[in-house]
Amino acid sequence: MPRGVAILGVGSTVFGKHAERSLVDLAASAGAEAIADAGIDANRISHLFVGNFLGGILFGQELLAPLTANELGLRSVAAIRTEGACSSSAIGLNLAYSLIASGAIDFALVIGVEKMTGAPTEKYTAALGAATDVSVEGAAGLTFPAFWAMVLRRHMYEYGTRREQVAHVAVKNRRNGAKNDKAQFREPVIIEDVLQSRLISDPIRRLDCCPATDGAAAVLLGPAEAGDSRSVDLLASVQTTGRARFSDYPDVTTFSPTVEAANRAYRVAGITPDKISVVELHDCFTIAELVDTEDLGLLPKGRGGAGIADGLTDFGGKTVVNPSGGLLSKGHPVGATGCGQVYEVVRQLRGEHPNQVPGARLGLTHNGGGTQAVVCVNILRGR
Amino acid sequence: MSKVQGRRCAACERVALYWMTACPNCGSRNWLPVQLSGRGTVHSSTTVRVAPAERASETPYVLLLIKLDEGPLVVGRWSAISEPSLGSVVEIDRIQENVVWFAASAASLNANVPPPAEVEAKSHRIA
Repeated sequence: MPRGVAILGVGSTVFGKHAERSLVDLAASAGAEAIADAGIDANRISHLFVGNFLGGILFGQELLAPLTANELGLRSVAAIRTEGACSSSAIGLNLAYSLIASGAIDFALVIGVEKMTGAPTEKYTAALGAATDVSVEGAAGLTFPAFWAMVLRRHMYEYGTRREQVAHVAVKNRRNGAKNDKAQFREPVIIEDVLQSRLISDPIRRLDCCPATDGAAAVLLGPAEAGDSRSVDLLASVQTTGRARFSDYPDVTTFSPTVEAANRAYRVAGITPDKISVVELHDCFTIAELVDTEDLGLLPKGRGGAGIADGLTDFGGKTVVNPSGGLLSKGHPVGATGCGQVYEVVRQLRGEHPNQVPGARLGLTHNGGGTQAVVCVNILRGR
Repeated sequence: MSKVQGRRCAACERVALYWMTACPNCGSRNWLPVQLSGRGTVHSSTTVRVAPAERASETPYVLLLIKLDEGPLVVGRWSAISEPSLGSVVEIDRIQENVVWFAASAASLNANVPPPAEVEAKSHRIA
């Protein structure tokens, strides 16, 4: 019988532009905040996981885990960097969960960090392309907006989903982000803004896409019995492997790694999707939120467009999705996003969020890297 | 009609265009060679207007997701500037440096065009 795992502390920088700060500086400031939030002696931390994707490509800086350990004065930790594109830090969370649940270790600090805005756009666009199979689909000119554009067009064709229904995701998430002190974009938009923004990859437009972001977030985990009333129990943490090549999927309107991760997480936590009151999921593009909402079992397959347009994933609906503003509005510092989502759900379950979901008790995070090649789902419960 | 060499999983019959050690469907490593018709239907499409710097001169370009008659999906390019409609029939025109180029099916166009030369994949990435 594995022992219970709890999130004892969290920390995060503001997501946005941090041109003057280094990766290590950002990582350490989120990490220090999580340690202070947990109120434990830092010498009890045995493992440090640092999730990062682009540091090597954009800044020539590897070895971020020991550098961050040095910066934080963590002298006796095993320092490990985890990489899985947009799921880089969620991998560390999953590893920390497994190690603590098994009894192998007691306390672990997981940090995610990324800097994207300092680099020239063409350089960072090319760098993100490293999260495709560059030998085949990258060679054909597949970009991430193009990947999700083809998912959107197929979803419209198969299910009658309408373009403006999908735009509701951007409107909802911008409205939520406007209330989040950690968010990059704080201005609401309306449907017409989305539908008239610049075409990026038809039918995906500028406001359907998440931005480039700098930032860091951190989560300190330990045994459930070491927590207090502000701790949040991590009931399940599941990581699955999808297809790193888009065309290896038999269907592109649903992603089996998300369905599988969610089903396993619900089973481990002993709950059903309708019990979840707050979700932070991987809305790198508006259509991604629609597909993920269906794949997580929050709305029926093919009905995501209508459900979102009817407000079922908004405040006052069925399950509040991305009250932080999500990747679309809060921002997407790739390696930091997994920890950033957990940071947001922990604030919700403590009842401390600036855009609070009333009475939130059970929360879920969903993080998808590359073409959903690395998917992590966590289920959290407040005390 | 271009004919292309693919492979069929001996365990689950899944057909693949690209070489890989294990079947993406069942994990078997036992493949048999199979001749593909080179024909398929448009499963989805997009026009890429923003691309990494090295491709900026190519934009806008059309990407297609094609479901080959034998089952596998393939991401490829379309030489025309306007996207074909979903469900329409296309065929492999050529494979260059691992990039699959599609053209309207001669049969579907009902046009009197000469058949393109048989395609032989040169790269090790394509079986």
